[in-house]
Amino acid sequence: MGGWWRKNMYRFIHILRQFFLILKESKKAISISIIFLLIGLITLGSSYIVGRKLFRTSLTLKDTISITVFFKLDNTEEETDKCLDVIREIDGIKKVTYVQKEQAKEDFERLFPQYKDVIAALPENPLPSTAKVEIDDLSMGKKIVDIIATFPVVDMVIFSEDLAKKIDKLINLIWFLFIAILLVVALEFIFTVQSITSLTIDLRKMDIKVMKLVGADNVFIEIPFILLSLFSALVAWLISIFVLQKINGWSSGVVQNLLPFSGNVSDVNTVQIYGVLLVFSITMSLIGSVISLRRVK
Amino acid sequence: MIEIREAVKTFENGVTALSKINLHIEEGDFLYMTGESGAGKTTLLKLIHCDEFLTKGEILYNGAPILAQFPLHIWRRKVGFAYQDYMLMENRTVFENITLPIQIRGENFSKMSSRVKTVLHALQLQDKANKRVNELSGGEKQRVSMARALIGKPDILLLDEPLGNLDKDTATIVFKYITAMNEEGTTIVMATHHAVQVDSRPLKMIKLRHGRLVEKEYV
Repeated sequence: MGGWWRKNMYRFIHILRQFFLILKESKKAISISIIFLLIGLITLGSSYIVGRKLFRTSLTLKDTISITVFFKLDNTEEETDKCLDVIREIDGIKKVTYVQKEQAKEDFERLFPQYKDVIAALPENPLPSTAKVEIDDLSMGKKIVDIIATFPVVDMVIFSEDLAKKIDKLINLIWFLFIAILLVVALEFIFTVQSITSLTIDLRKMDIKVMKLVGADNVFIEIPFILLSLFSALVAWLISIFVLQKINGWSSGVVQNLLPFSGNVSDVNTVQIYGVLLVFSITMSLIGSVISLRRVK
Repeated sequence: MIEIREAVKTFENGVTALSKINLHIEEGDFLYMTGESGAGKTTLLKLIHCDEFLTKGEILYNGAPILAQFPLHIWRRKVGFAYQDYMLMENRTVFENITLPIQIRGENFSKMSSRVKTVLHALQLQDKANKRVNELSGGEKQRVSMARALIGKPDILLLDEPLGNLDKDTATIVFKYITAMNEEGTTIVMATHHAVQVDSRPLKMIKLRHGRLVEKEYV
């Protein structure tokens, strides 16, 4: 057993030796592949970072969208309470917050202190009682608004449907763009690795023939090329971390510009992104190199 | 050990390189194969090494077809082959070329270093170890090809015109080394058209002409 391990360890060392020799002989080709893989990783990583920030900010923004129900001024408390109970029972309602007339007045005075005197001069509070209705699914908003509007105690119902639709569109666009970029980068990755590995194999066709004549098996011949593509992917990934770190800091400003009034743009978990990119790089480079290794057989 | 029965080899272009060859090579034999260029010597060596495959007939190793007993790469590890056209990795150093069989087998470099030194010295390549093969002369390349075939102490050694490009002194030294290997038990099949060399150690000799076995002389 010990002999088997030792033999395989030496074999692995010799395979590594072959990898370093090929690496030394193919510096230019490997550098080019690293540049292409780096471009792919930066494109994918940055679109993920910006997309994720846009997505999360859109979701936060979406959370603030609710239905505002204005009750008639001449309603009794009983009528309003009864209506609120009915609203709470409607399907798709998450939360109903009731704001009494007095509370509405206080809120108004706090928000617009310049009109405090005007309000005070009026014989009675002109502000109606309202209800803030939060819903589970914004696409249900119009339906719920139509139901609430039919209640006799309700004066007016406001729902920013357009904003909700725009945010929905934006979220869909972010997903679509990200998936499109992911596919393009995956193809670019596979194509780059496959082309460079094929090129290095073609340049070593005679060496490979000699190795086979001397008794090399497929593992001895193929593993150095697979290691070569993994090496390219790993170097490209390491460089991309530095670039994406910069892009992460700079992207918050871009998102803020794209979605004004969105408040603070939340940070993304970069460690998670780098981990995903590493797995992506390794998987794609393995696929690319395995495709090109058919030439060796 | 190796039995060649009714061996026929016809290439894709219709040229028949070997016709109905019957030959028996025993363990520890030193078999000379002579004949003019194009007689089929190299083809026969390549058939034994499984670089080429028979059109008709069979080659048996210890009574059974070779590839029924071993995967191709394992067989090639058992059989060392010094090619007439060298078959070396031109951009790699002499050391890299010679140690290739050691690397492929997964053997320890330090354990093998004394053997590498011995072979390099025996074939007078000790000062060429770090030179690239494409910087070497034909004779030097031939010795590198031979050194690579010898390094792994194969059971069978196939030598295709191994002394062709060597000067007389070097040829004598190299030949002595090959002979010593044979005395240690390695079976050697050597293709040559140098009658002088054959005369110096006539153990078993065959002669090929136009792909046919025309002479068999076992001493």
